[in-house]
Amino acid sequence: MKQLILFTLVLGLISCKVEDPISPGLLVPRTVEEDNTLPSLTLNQTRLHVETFGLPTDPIIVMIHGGPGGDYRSLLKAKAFADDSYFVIFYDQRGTGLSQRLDRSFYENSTIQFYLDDLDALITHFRTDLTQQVFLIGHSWGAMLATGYINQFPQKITGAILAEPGGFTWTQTEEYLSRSNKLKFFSEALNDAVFPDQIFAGREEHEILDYKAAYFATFENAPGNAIGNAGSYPFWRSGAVAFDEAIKFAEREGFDFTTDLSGFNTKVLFAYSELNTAYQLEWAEIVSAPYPNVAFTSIANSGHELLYFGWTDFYPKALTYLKEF
Amino acid sequence: MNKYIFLVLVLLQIGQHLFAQTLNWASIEAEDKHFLSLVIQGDYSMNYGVAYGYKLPTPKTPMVLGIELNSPFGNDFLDDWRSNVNLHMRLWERNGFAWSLNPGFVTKNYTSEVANLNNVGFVLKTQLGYYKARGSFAADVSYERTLFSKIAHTGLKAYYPAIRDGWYSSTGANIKVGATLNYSFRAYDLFLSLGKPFGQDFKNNPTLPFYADLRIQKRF
Repeated sequence: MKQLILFTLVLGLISCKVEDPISPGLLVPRTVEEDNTLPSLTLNQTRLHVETFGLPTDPIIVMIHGGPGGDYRSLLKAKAFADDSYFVIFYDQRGTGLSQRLDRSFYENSTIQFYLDDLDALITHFRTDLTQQVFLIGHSWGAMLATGYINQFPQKITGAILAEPGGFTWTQTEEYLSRSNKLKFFSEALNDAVFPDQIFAGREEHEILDYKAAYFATFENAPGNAIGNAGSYPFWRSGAVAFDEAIKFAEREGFDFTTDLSGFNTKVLFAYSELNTAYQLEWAEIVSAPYPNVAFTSIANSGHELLYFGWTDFYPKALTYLKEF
Repeated sequence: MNKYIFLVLVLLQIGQHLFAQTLNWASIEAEDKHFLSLVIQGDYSMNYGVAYGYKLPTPKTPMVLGIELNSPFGNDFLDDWRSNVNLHMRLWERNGFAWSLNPGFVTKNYTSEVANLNNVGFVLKTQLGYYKARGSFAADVSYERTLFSKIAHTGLKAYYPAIRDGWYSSTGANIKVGATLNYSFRAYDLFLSLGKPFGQDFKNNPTLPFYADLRIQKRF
């Protein structure tokens, strides 16, 4: 009897169609390289997943997603700003989301300056004239990039809303991460995140690395998480190599996005979430200190993913700020 | 094939008296036939487990068949587990030094809000050590490759409806390099294994940058 069950199972195994995990589109969505129907733009020799809403002649809002290695899907509620007479630009950063993937060697030979160069090229591409206002709304890592951009090109930005940047230097960011990503070694959440390491093992292909990253995302948003997220939030595809290499760069060389911020006297709106126990006003004040002119706002009933979970409270506060200009 | 059919497959293997073990060859008495171990480890994840070995009647080449079942710590009991069925063979011995080979068949089951994974693979471990009745020290190298995975997505379908459920070919291999220290007393052996895991490309390595395995074994 046991032999019969074994034989049936083995026969069932043999008769199943076996897929190749790196075939495009099976485990992760296709990027703009593999799917020509996705909206895209080629800038700085890379093809980015880009989407816009509103009239191109209206004041520009550039939405900058978090990560590194995230995508803009959870920010899409912000297309509502188009109904308020703004031209809203969403883009997946280089090597992330549905943007073109790059070989790891690109990152090994680069600094993170390319993120700022790509943002600059994006703004230059869409700006119809030099009087057109440009606002940056950045979330988490996106808010850090926004600050890095303002630090280099303050004259190009009309205003900015920064939603919970972890820090504007690597030292600051490390300190925030130590609180927000506290490891509980015997927890279901952590073990659920790392168990797949023995199944997806030692493969370099983006399809496998990006797919495996989705398993790790459950750790961040598990019940009782420090950053206050209510659960998972929409995404398309993680940029695992982009994330990994950004961390390696930061650990190796650090970064400081604040060197010239003292000259940016424009008011910046600094948003933090009510439920992120690792952040709060205390950390917002520390991180924002290099800006001379900051207004703080707490987003109610939301954790770190505040442009998604806290949109109802964020939207009117953001609009009020934007309409001041 | 769901996780319960997978577990049946594993239990059938138990019924066939197939087992795997960490062993101090020098502490095994002639009358020892069975080896029962309790395990706690950090090996990809933080796990606990049991292992059972049966010494085959092969006087020329000592061999132990066995099985090990490990499960990560967490709230959901046995939603994730790993079984290892293998044959531990001492192929060479001289003056207390011994070399052994340990091929095995590995099955894994994983359940989370992302997906359910059933995976089969093989592992080949080799040990070269020095064994005395009261203790041993050995260097370990192992290679573990996935063969097939059955993936049934749950939460990910909400964000990517076109994601493909089904059987997938090999998704990679890991290599481990480490050492095992052992202390033997009466009918018991205490083993501590420490080492480092690598992905097969030595670039994309497991998140947990080390492995540590502590087990107590009774021989009877």
